[in-house]
This record gives sequence, C-alpha cells and structure tokens, in this order.
Amino acid sequence: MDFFVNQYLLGKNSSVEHAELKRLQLFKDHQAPAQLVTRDFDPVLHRTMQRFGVTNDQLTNLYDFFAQTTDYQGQPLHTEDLKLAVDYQIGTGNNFREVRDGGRLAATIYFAGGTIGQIHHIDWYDQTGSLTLRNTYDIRGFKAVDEFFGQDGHEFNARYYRPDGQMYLERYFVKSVQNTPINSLNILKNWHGQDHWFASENEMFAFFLDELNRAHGENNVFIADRPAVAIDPILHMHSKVHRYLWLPMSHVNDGQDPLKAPLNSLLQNALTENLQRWDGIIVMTQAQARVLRQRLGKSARVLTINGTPVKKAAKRVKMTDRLPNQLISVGRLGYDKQTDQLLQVFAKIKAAVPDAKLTLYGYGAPNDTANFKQLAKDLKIDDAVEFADYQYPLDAAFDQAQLLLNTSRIDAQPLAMGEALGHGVPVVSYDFSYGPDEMIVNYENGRLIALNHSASMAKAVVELLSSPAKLQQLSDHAYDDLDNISAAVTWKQWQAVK
Amino acid sequence: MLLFLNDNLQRNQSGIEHAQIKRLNLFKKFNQPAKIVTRQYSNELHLVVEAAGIKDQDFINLFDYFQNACLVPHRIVKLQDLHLNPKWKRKADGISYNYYDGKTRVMYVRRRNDRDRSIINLQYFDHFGKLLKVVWYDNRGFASVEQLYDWNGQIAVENYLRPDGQLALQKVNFKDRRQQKATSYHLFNWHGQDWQFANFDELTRFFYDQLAVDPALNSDGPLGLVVDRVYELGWAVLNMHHRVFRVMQLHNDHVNNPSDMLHSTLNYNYQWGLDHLKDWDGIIALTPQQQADVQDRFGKQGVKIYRIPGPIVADEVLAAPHVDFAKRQRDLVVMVARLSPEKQQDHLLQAWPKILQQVPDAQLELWGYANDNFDQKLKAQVSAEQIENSVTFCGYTTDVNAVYERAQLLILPSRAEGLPLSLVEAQSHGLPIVANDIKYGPADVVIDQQDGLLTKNGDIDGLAQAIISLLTDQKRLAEFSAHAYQDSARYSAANVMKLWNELLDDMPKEVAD
Repeated sequence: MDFFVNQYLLGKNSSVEHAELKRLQLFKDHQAPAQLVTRDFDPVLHRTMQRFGVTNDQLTNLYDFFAQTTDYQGQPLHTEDLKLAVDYQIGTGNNFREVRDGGRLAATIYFAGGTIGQIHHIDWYDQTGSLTLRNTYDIRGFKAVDEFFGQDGHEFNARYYRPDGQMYLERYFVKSVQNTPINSLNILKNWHGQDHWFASENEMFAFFLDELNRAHGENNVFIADRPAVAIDPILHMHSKVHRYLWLPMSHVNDGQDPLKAPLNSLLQNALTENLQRWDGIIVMTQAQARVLRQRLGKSARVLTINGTPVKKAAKRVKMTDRLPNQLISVGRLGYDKQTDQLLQVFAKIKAAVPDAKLTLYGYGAPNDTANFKQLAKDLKIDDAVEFADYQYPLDAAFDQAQLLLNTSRIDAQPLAMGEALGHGVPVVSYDFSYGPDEMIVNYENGRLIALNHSASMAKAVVELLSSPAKLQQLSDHAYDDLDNISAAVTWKQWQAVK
Repeated sequence: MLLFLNDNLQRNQSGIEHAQIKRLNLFKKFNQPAKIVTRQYSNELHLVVEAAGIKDQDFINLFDYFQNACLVPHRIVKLQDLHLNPKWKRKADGISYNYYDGKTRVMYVRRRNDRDRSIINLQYFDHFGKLLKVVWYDNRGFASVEQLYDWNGQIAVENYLRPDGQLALQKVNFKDRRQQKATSYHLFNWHGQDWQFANFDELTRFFYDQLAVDPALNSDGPLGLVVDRVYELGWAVLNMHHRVFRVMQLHNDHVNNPSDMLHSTLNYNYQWGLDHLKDWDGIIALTPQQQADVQDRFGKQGVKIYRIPGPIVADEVLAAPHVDFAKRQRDLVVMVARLSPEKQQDHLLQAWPKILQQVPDAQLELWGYANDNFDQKLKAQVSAEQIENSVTFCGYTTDVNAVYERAQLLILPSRAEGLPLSLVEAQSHGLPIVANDIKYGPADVVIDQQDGLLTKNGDIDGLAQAIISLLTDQKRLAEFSAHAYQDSARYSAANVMKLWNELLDDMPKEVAD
C-alpha cells in the first residue's frame, strides 16, 4: 500500500490535495492500492470525501483510525434527533438554532454548511453567556468530541468519542507565552489494551502512521505530501517503512537562486541531515530534478513524477462550440501568483477584443481577493471579469474555455495547466520555474512568454483570439500531444517508487 | 415512601444527621420504606455511609444518582489495576508514587493509607510539568470525578463519571462580572437528553423532580419529602415541577429570641421555609413546647403542625442491663456537644473553679468537634483559670455510649437547642443531667428533681450549685440515675413511630401528576 500523508482534505483545496486526488485516481485506474492519510480532526470529512469522489478505502484519517470509524455508516442527525429536553424552547433559523431555558440562552445549535439542518456542533454557555462546552457531531450522525473552555475563554481539554459513546482520546491544551494554545498531552485510551501518552500532535501522528503501517504488514510506502505536517512524523516512524518526500513547491524561496540560495526552511532538515533517510525525493518536473541532483549530490535519489496525469479525452470540443473569447485562470489568487498582473494583461486584451471574458477559478486571502476585485473595477474590466471562487470539478469550465492564462512567477508544477491541455484548452503562460516549458511547446499547444512580459502576453492572446484557425490548431495539438503528462507515462514513472 | 432530605453526610455528624439516621433505622424497624437523600459530593461518601451504619440501598446521593452509581459493587483498585505504561519509572513518595517517562514526571499516584493501599487519585502532568487533571477514585472502586485545570491553573471543570467511564455530569467553575466564583452544571445523556443548570440549586430541583417520577421509588405509593435542612434545600423542594407531599422538619428553636415567641425574628435556618409556610404540607416540631409555640404563631395559616421527637431510644438500649452506679467514675462530669458558642461551654468552665472548691477531685471531659475555632477560646479560658488538671478536651467520639456509661453527670449549659439528642441518649444510659431550661428540649427530656436538674440560662452560680449539690450527694445522684433509665422509655421506638404514623396517614395515597 502507498500512503499519501497530508494534514487534511478540505472543501477548498490547494495543489497539494489536488496532486493527491489525481494520484489516487491514477492508482485506482491501475488497481494499485493507495490511500490518502490525513491528520486533522474534521467532522465533515466524509461529506468532503464524497464530493471529491474519495471512497472510505481511499482515505484514513487519524481520528477515524483510532475511533475505528473509517467505514462507519450512520444517519444524518437533525435538531429533532437530539431529543433536547422538553424544558427548552428552540428557535428557528437556517444556519443555527437558539436553545433557551426561559429567558436564558443555554445553547446554540449550528448546522453543517451546505446541509439542510444537519448538526455540526452545539455551543453551551454559562449564565454569563460564556462558552463552556462544545459538542461536535460527525456528519455521519454521532457526537464525536466534547471540547471544554476555561475561564479565559480558551479550550483546555477535549474528549473524543466513538459512535457508541466510548471515549478513545483525550487532548489537553496549555497556554504558550504568546497566549496561543499548545497541545501538551494526548492520551489514547485502551488502544490494544494500553493507554498511550503523546506529548505533542506530532508524536501522536507518528504513532498513528506506525500503527497504520503495521496494520498493512509494514514495508509500505509513505509519501510526505505536505512538508510542514508530514515530514517530521514520517521521519519519526519506528516500523519498517519506505519514506518518500514529495516536493509540492520550489526548494528555495521565491526569486532566489535554486542552486545556491538557502533551502526553504520547511525542507531544510529533510534535505540536509535527514537526506539519507528518504528512499526518494519526488519532484514533478525534470528541471527541478536536475537542479536538486546538482545541489544534493549523487547520494540523493531524486525522482521525477508528473503531478498532473491526463487521460485521453473521451470527447473533443471544437473551438466553435466553446464560449467565444472565454479566457480562464485556475489557481489560488495572490500577489505571489501575480493575479494583479493577470488583470492588467486582461485589460489590454479587452481593449483589443471588447467581448473577451476572464473567469478566475480559485480562492484567495479575503483581503487580497477584495483588492483584486477593486483593481478590476479600477481597470474598468469588472463587467468582463468573474471571480468564480473555488470550484470542483472544473471539466465543464475547461470545455467552455478558449484559452488558459497563467501569469505566475513560481510553482512546482501548475496542475491546472495539464488539466487544461487535456481538455484541449491552449495555454498562454509565463515561462517560469517549474513546469510550463515541460508542458507547452511554443506555438504548438500554447505560448510561452518571457517572465513578466505582460505586453507580449496580451499581444499573444489577442493574436490567437483573432485567428480562429490558429486557435483550433493549438487546441488539436493540446489534445494530441500529451506524451509528457499522460496517465500511462506517469504510471511508468511511479514504478520507481517501491 | 418518605425521603429524608439532607445537604451532606460527613464523618463528623451533627445532631441533624444523627436524627436522620435514627429515623431511618426506626422506619426500617417498622418496615416503612424510607431513604436518606443528600446532594454534596465526596469520593469517600460511601465510607461515611457505611460507618454511619446506613446501607447503600437506603441512601441516594445526587451525584451517585446522575452517575448511575447508587449501587455499585465494591472493588479495590490497586496500582496494578491501573495498567500504567511499563516503560515509566516510579519513585516512592511515602506510600504514593511519582512516575517518570525518562526525566519527565508524567503522573503522581496517591494511595490510601489502608490495608489494600487503594488508589485515591491520579495526577496527570504534561511535559512542561503543568498539572492537567486529577482523577479521583470513589472508594467503591471506579474513577468518579476528574478535575481539569485550565490555562491559568484553575479547576475549570469537574467531570463526574459513570462507572463505565461515560461523562455524566460536568461542573463548570467560572467567574461572573464581579469576579465572584460561580458554577453551572451540564448533565450528559440523562435518559438520552442533555441538560444545563445555572447553579447547584437548579440541579437539586431537577434531581428531586427526577426522584419524584423514578419508578423504583414510587412503586409503593407516592413519595413524601421530609426536609431536614430547609435553609439549604427549601428552594429546590418548593420549586419542584412535580407536586409531592412535603414537610419541613424543625431541628432547633425557630426564633432568635425565645422570650418573645410571637414576635421574635426567625432563626435564619427556618426563615425562608416559614415565610413560605403555606407551600408546605406540614411542619414537624420536636417537642410539645415547640409545637405549641409554632401553633400559636402560625396556626391560623392552616398548615398542620406535627410533633415528633428526633431522638429514639432503641429497644436493646432500653432492655440493656443498668450500670451499677458505684462503678461509675466518681465525680466525673461530661459535656457532649459541639464546641460552639451557643452550647456555652464557657459558662461551665466559668463555674468549674467554684465546683472544684467544693469537690476538689471533680473531673470535666468535653466531647465534640469545634466550630469556628471556638475550642481555641475555651482552651485559653482553661489556661487562664488554671484548671488544666481537671478539664480535658476529648474531641469527637464514635463511641459516645462508653462516655455516658462511665460518667456520673452530664451538663448542657446551652442558650438554645432543638431537642438535643445527647440528652436523650445520656438519659437512656442512666446518666443524670444538669441542663439550662431553654427552648427546646431540656424541659421535655429532664424531669426536674427526678432524673436531673434544670438551671437558668446565664446563672453561673446556680449552675455551679446544681452540680455541687448532686456530686456531694452520691445517694441522690444514684436515685437520679435509676430514674433516668426509667424515664427514657418515653423515647422508645414504638412511641416515636406512633407519631410518624400520624403523618404517614395524612399522605396522599395516589400519585398526583
């Protein structure tokens, strides 16, 4: 079994999760056993999994594992199922309900987002209105945790339950000098007849990975997908294991010399003193692999595995069947992603092609997103720009688009670029490290533009939009020329991971 | 069934608890169903219950009730039952242990100094050395409550657990806007429901309502409640949602100034209960004198005033062989009462030098625990009067009968009483009594000039003279002793039960709602 180790799977995900989801699908298509592994407690995880098409045998969460609820099937739980005491008067509302004992607010029942009244958690208050207790319910219909809040309003203790009410885990939190919570003790109760104490979440995570490894006969592959969370626990595993480090990012900070600059601090120890403990370091592009081999020396085993495997399109969509002059970008919104530059490029495009439209798929920090929306107004393109937020899946969006634009300056491999090409959408992108030049053949399936040459990018887009024949030709090539990133090629690359 | 409501049952019991226990035994003797009900928590409550001779079946505690732990098979939890991590190293601290994971202390295990070295509590520490929680074991052998410490090291939460480990009841400690301590309670999964209570009285009210509809308690007719501590429990009882038969038991004088029974301010213990007189189905006075006083002042409100004495003299005590008076310790005078200002031990100590002048070998033993450090005051007085050689502070005893059977004279110089148990008990063991004629009790127990002498409150010389007159007339004292044995039959079980039956007959026969 191969385990892809991460922190979470959320309603809105980053490229780390998307790379994993694509990988899970690839393994499934090749009947190879693989699982996503997440650390964080998440009461709506099993709903999120359904949304992303992840089945119970494809994901193991730490809490599910210890609660033995990975395969648990329950019933949706609503306010009426709580059997609240008859003394309490319950108000009405779509997102929450207030529970009153006479004039006193005793509790508030909160519903899980996107459900019709399914219980997410209940907050209970003391008579001064302070939160003292939170019962959180798993979306599958059982109380999963009670959290307790102290006089200063901070959580100091939590008890985690199985569906039968049995407590399997206690967690304790103390105050740091910055007044933030530190998880200072975790007690796993009666796990195979013994209580286990963990001084930190990392220790508990490592123990969980060891138990998971042993439950599958040891010698399994564990891939650290999210460096900040997965590296330490995987390095601290005691059982027999094959450790791989997946780099979802450049190994140096933005704008620095990839050969000589200090390593990104998240990777520092993993790529220096602990380098020999990895069976392999996996990067998604040949270019990053070359740089890393040069930097780390011969003792490091650096593998290149495409992160965005693409299957041959079942159905091709002609350019004439797509929305005319529809441009899209896919990915997080941010200044590091140069979303501001994208809007400026689009303003130039729209000046030449007045009915051009740009849809941005992706989330950003609230402040940044607000700034970008304001910028669109200032550039007087807000009528033609849609901030469509995070959406999944995007197949329909790709099938409607005529070009994908990317104005980033850094990445480990832009996954959406592969998806776009797989849907016959030509790509116009800055030629940044790493990825675009290994997917785009200039003038064949898209255009590579020198980094930050925004005028050139606008000009290239306008040329393509003004030449339907050329656009269709690039689209045909996009569909045809997937050799670098096809599922079949990617699967061959995976054979090096054992 | 009658439930006798109390706040707490502790090792050092006051007259109210003694009266309840005697009443319980009386009801058992006559096959009348009854239980004692308390509401305060202790992890050693059932040691106290056992020591008091109460069976677990005849006792309900609020916490036990919600913890599903009224009846729990007793087991001993020892160190090896904890299954602690075998990799931890332990270091002894007396009979207790510190446990270390490497150099970090992770747990302190406190053990009881008994034959089994049973576990009292477990103290959990994190790797910073911060105390996170203390788990207390009920002496019956299960983890009963865990006290959790918040970021500031305060006990923020106390989790009361069911014997199967489920969380039953949570006490939350917090501060209000004036930074005063306050508590709220959360009851988990009680018959499938969660409940939140703003304070202990609200929880107590709910507890009584649960008892009122508990099938196990209502199988032989409706419940009745005898409230023995109305100051603590009256609000909860009178605010119950279910209306059950309820009576208030007086254990003491109900007024502050016994010289003006009709107008005096009320004893704070009974003020609230008497202010809500019409909400009760009855008031129980202890003596005929008190019954008449209550009737005079409150009778027009139409609530029935019963008279039932608290003390009961057991048949075996009445039938027991009498102590030969010659075998009692010559000139031994005892006082058996809490060391407390209203008992006025200081008056007796003031009289004592006068007594010593006439009876130089007289000895005085003071039995009972101290309230409000009153013992310090008394000890200072003994030392100032230089009577250390003849006065002994003996503390609380569980074998008070031995004291009654050894002494020649019992003194009770109180300024106020309800119906002092000690007088009835002493009398049943043939001990002559010198007591102040105050409200209430002495005049009902002591038959003046026959089995004892009644003295005037505050008359120190009169008190000294009464004691001297008896100690210096051993023949008369022996006659008083013989009368004491006879006169105590007034408090026989059969006689007291007759009075209770009158109350039981007034109870409704069907459950009202």
